[in-house]
Amino acid sequence: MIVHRRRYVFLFALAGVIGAGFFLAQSLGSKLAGRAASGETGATDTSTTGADGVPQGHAKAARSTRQRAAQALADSHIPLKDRFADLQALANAGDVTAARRLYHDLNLCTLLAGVDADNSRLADELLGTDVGKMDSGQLHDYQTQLDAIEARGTNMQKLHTLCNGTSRQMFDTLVPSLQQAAKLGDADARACYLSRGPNLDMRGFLNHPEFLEEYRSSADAMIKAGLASGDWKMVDLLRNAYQPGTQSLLAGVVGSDPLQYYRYLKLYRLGAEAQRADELDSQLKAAAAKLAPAQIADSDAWAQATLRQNFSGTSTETTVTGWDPCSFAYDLAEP
Amino acid sequence: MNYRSPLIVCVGLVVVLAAYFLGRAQAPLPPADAKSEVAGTTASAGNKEPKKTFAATNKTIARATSSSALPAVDAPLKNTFADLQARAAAGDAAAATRLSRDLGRCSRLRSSLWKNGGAANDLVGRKTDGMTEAQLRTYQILLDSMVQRQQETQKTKDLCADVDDAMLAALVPSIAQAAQLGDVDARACYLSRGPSLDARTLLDHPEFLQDYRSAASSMIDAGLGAGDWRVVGLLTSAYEPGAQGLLAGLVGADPVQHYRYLKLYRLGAEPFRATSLDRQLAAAAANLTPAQTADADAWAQSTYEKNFKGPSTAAAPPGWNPCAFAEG
Repeated sequence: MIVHRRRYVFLFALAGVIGAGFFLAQSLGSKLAGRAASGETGATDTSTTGADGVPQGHAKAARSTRQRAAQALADSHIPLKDRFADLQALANAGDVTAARRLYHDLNLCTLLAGVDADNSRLADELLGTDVGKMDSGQLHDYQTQLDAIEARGTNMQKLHTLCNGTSRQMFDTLVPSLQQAAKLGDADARACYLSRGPNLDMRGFLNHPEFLEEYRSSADAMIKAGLASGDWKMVDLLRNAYQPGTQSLLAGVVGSDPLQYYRYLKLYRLGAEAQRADELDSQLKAAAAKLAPAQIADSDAWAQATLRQNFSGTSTETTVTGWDPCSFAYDLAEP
Repeated sequence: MNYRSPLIVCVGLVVVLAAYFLGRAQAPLPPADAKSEVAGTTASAGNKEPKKTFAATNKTIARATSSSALPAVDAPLKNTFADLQARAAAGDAAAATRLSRDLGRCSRLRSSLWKNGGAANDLVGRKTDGMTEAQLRTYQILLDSMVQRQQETQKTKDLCADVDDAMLAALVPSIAQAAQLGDVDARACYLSRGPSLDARTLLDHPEFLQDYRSAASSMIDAGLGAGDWRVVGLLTSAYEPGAQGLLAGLVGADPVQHYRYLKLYRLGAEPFRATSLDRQLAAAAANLTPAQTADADAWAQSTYEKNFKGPSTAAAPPGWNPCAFAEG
């Protein structure tokens, strides 16, 4: 019973995060729309932003682009199917905000059917609970859970409005959308894409095996961008990919290399919180056993220099044990 | 007269050889788990480019007449790889199973060594000063387990010595081959994970995705025909709304199919699972018309009676890992 109640609490919390995220996304969407209308679309490609001296036709096109951006990025109550084409066009033109919004909404809609089914099951189980032997505390918890179900129903309805009519062809663009956002510098998309790549959407993957080659060809540039921007998530992904025996996609791209493994592990260790030090030192010691003293010295120097040059904050706080690089899936507030 | 003697001798030899091969062809195949007393392999070491042994057809299975025993259990894979692969490709089910299991062990070896090495260092480095008698006993048990694990690991190292990446890349095709030849464990694993079992190799072999797509349907049919509850469990999960795995990607969302397989699974369930499954069935039925529900119920009932026996929930309990044999 306690286990069940914990499960309920967890699922309610999850639904709460989704619901809260949804409303935050709506509010943020309005702000973004405002920014977009004033020409601040977050685009990295500024060629259509209507600078002084731009010919009339171009200025008109720029205004049209801004209007489309405003609409596409506006409140989430506009179904994704109605914003999809515009978001995709903007993302392809280098608008990182649109790219982020697109993969975020697509991912949410991909998950919606599962969340919906879980919610229904949970509601059925809860409503079927025998309350006859509950004490007052349990009854209070039970009432809280019932209230949460009701509140969740409203939020889920809004999510349905967002996702209704999203086609299979649109869903198939989840991974390319994620890739595009990652290429445009979205750190969350980059970590998720490098970690899961086409595996994020198996259905799309089966239809598009070419996603594999795209993963291979884009990973290197993303890794460099992540390291240059001091992204601890990138360091953690790399140390795991280089760890002996790893069979992930990223491991397949970077290959086996004990030296690289030591380097990234060392860098990660330099940024670690004190409570993780012993564990990481033990791993470093084992990794060093395969290297020559000169290799270790070089790697240590590289790690120190890279830390000073690019990184701040703590590695282990950014990437707590068991972190999920694709956890944005549940967080609608992010765009 | 001079011609007839050699002719008679030749005809006699042909008759003897024909009788020999006829007898050999009709001899019973060795059991799948047969262990050889003789490590009599003459296979050359190390195929650099493992062939795709995946596309064995029923014809090749029917033609398979190999009755030679499998190599000894601990025979180094580098020596047996080519022979096992050739035999598997010719439809030898026991060889296919053996190859997939050996490759599974070797694929896990590097990560096992790494994890066990770290755990051993931690254990040996632990200070025993101040431990109570009970703690010391526990510590001794942990040390004994570690030694046992290291002995097992040493056996795997011997098995896998000089097995290169090209051989390891044959893991998924070997599981597919074994599955096609009737290995039920391999079938469940392949349907569940397919090429994603070894994502690293998939990068170099995107065609494995198409192989999966082509092979899955006949494996599903074979599993249902053989009354394999694990296939029912996999399909129930794959058709579930929002399912994300490879099999889900292949079969696509379908509320009717989800209900059908869930119903079949429920018919074979142990009593203590019934309430939970009935609740799931009620939720699944909510998306269907009464006619669809009735049709699905009839299908499940007749399929259950025709092909299935034993409890579904024992064969495929919630949370089971279809690739446990390949992942350790």
